[in-house]
Amino acid sequence: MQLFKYTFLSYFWGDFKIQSITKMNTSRIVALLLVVLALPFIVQGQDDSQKSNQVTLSGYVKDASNGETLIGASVFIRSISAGTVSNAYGFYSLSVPAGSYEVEISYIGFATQTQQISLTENQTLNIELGEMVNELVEVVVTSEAEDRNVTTTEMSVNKLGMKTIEKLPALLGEVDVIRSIQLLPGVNTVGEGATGFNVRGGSIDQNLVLLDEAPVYNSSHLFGFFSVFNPDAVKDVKLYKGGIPARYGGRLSSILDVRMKEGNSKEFSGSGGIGLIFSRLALEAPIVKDKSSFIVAARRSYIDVLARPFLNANDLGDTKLNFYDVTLKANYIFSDRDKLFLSGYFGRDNFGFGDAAGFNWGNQTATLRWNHLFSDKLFSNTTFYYSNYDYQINFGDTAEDQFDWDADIQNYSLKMDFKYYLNPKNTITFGGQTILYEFEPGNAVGVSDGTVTDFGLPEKYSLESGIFIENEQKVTSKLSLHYGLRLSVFNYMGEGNAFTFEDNEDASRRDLLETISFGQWENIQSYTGWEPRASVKYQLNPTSSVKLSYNRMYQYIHLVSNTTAATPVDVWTPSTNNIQPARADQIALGYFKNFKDNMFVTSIETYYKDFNNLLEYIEGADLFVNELIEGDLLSAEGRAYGLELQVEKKKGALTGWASYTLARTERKVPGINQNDWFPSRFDQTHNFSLTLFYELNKRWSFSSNFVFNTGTPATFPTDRSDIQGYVVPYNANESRNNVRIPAYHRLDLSATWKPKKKRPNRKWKGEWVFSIYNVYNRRNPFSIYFRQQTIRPQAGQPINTEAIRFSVIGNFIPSVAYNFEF
Amino acid sequence: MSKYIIPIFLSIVLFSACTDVIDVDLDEGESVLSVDAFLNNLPGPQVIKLRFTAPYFSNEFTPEASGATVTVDGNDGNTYNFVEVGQTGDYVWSPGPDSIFGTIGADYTLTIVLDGQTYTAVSRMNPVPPIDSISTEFREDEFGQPDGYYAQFHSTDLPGRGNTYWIKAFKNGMFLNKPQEMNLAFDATFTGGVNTDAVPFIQPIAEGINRIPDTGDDAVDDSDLPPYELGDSIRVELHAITEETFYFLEEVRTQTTLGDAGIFAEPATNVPTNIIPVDNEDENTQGFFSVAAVAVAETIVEE
Repeated sequence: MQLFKYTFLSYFWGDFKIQSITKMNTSRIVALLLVVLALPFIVQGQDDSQKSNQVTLSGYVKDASNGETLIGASVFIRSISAGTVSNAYGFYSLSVPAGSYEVEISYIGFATQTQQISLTENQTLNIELGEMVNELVEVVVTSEAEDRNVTTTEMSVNKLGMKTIEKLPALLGEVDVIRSIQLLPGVNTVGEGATGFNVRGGSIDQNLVLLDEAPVYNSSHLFGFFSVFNPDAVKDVKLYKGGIPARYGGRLSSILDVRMKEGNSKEFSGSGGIGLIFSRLALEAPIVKDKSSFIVAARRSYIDVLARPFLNANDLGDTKLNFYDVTLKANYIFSDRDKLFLSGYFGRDNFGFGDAAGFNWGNQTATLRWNHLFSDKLFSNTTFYYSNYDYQINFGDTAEDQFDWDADIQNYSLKMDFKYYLNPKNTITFGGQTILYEFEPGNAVGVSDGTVTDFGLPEKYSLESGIFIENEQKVTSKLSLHYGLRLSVFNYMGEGNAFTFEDNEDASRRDLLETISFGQWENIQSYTGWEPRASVKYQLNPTSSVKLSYNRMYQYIHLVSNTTAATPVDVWTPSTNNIQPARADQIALGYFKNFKDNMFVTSIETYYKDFNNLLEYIEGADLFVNELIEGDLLSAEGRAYGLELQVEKKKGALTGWASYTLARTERKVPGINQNDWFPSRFDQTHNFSLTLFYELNKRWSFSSNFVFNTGTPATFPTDRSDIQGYVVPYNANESRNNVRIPAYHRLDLSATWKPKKKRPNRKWKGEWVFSIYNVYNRRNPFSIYFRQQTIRPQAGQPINTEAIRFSVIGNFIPSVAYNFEF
Repeated sequence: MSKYIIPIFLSIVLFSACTDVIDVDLDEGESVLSVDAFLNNLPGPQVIKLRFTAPYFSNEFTPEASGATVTVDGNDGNTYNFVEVGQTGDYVWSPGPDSIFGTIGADYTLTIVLDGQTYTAVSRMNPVPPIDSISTEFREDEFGQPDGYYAQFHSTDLPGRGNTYWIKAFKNGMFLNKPQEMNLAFDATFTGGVNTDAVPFIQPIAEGINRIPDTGDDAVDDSDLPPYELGDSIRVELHAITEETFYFLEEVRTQTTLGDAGIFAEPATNVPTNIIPVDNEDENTQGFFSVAAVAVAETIVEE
């Protein structure tokens, strides 16, 4: 509670010594904050003075079968062309002149409902939509309204419904959110098995991955093979690659907004599956029918169980290898005006060799949310969350000789946002957020011969706050705007030591100049950033539009990682007096066109992105448990530009999409690559994917997935130098990422069989999923590296060298899974 | 640091991973002088090897840099002239009876004159703590390591921050010379970034004197050098290297074992050098000059 109190205090008060990017004094920030937080009361007051002939229709849109709220359902009055979509909590609000209307409520995959309504005063209309009867009309990429692609100001946004994700052919049959979004244009990965994803030239720490609004710091199980999101508990996944609304902040490149199911409020139900890697089970049920429900979903891997017989042969019998996660959520509807949600996630990966060595890591998040309707037009959401990522490593099995360490990043946040449906032409969103971070970069204890050595690093504290306001405005029937502004403030605080370093011109390790101690909560360094966001849509005709967007983003916390794929032991660091906040500006232009009654949805987008103050590392940087790590860091520039094409076929027995990205991602780091631009490690010139789904009949459906991308860049040596009996590679041209490894391509197939129900009324529905990953058995290189031959060098003999192609997946991988619902 | 830890865990995860030796065309680079000058105060001759870098896949000894004048000057007043053996590029200084190279605490300057060009480098002979003992214990086969005797050395870091060490282990006189076996310590731990001082060498470093078998699906039979057995001799040398040398060797180890880290490899970069081309600033060089005081312990594996 102490922390919480402090968070609030500093939000309004704080001894900001702002040596900021934009010079701005404290009193102005405080004044602005007060205005923003007072806005709901001001606008509420204005409600009463509305023109009397305007009335508001509002309510929630839900799935009739289980009571789940539907995000982005369309509510439309055709006669006056007025419409809106439900927000992330299923709420909608539409103000129109009093009168009699036919209201259409639609959501893809659900039967459209039409209701005749006579509106004389403000009215609440909660709608439950039933699923479409014809299962063959299954949707691929669910977007809210069928033509939303064309008609909204939103661009550079992809939404994937869980139904789509579940149908993709998956590695080892395990449905996976992160792997699925890598099939979208503008999204790639440095290689198979690498954690996270890269969006439009951004490194993996530039994605804000939110699970019910709480950030997830490591989205992977098993290093990077599977993501932490349990498909049974996920309702909706939305990725913002550009045109990012002002309500989001804190990362440069993308927002991955994962929303969890609320749980069936109608009846007890369950789902789950048995695969080769995981077994999953999710249960949901009403606590109080139609008022309160919960979902609890759990998974556990059992590679260790299955592998034990094989491991024994290699004397690896005590090897521990498992991971699990538990996701839960509960909600309570107090009234139409007040809803409370509680959600949480706990996951863990465990590796170990008996008692001799162990390694485990995981995330925990908890979110408490309160939806409150101030009026039919003013929706508010207040969120408190806690998020933690930590890992532990230990060696040695005796009290006399052992070595243990752990590290974590913890944060607490309070966030309020308000959505004010001013009139059908303007929807204003505003609010604020503050996050308190505690970084524990490493606690290590070594015991040698019974002597305990404690060499932990001190914790670091910081506070990130932001306020924002944005408006979605329909200027004319053709022109729509979405514009906003975010002000972010970051404080790096004690208790702790701040360091200053000598200046270096040659990008080598900087020597410590001075150490300054700071007391608890004492401000060490502050930063302020203004983040304008805007997007414009111009409707060319009913089926096509052009859009333009700009966003500036600041990022105040950074993942310290210089390996090809980030490791679970990489730590996050705040911006400090030595590490500047990173900044990115992105401009994107797009053309959107739908054909054949929205059967084909197409888009072309181009973007240019400029990065500043990216974290880079001196050659030979010592990033692990290093108190003076800032002396090993460099500040880099980046740029990324590209063209993205996507064609989706949304209706019919054959659906799917093709996406193609032509892109370039570069970095410029003083002292590296002779100070010249070089491609980033995950740069891929061409990236193509084709994803197809085919519904043969009610029993059988098929899907396939083909990906092709240019090989990522690698650094190859030219020469060797023999030092102390080691063959040391030497690149005489001092170039970075000078060569491309061979192209990556892969085909995956899957078939789903739904057996005939034995008894038609039985609730149990099962399906078998057969899939093959990497069908044509290609050994796609993850990297090419160079080494002296592994045979032990013999005195007097020259040492031979070799180039090695390293493939993470070296074979085709068949799998079978059984999924069920009841 | 993660580079030591992760591969162990990674090896059991990448169930399907594979490596293949492939043919690769490499760019050509300019050949530069490479200096291998690691001197110490152990009895016996000291050797400085001058070579030129050669194409990475040349698969023979790199060509010698012959005909140079090589001297090492100490600020203790001693000058050591290194004389080339034939035209081998090996330059040797041999001590007289009962004499050794160097004085602890002294600074040394290496000067090389080759084809009219002068190169220099400096290093210091730091003091070294004694090795108290080497202990061994028998372990049942576990974690892919066969039955055998496993050793650790016992020593304590010298007082004062920034003492760096290279621990070299010898099994029956044979240096454990794989890059993976290079065992380095900074104030008795892995890194200089923590506030340790005058503590015993931490467990993973103390145990870093055992041979490391090959791992992965391309592992070759490592039976030429199994774990320690009864009757084996174990020799441990604790070299008190400079901090600069520590970072050099650490980078040598990183750059020669990049593949072991799999998907977690660090960027391939050139290792640093402390060989300064005096006459032509733009000339590139490779290699390192290091002097070190050495503590030695030996034992025979017994039951």
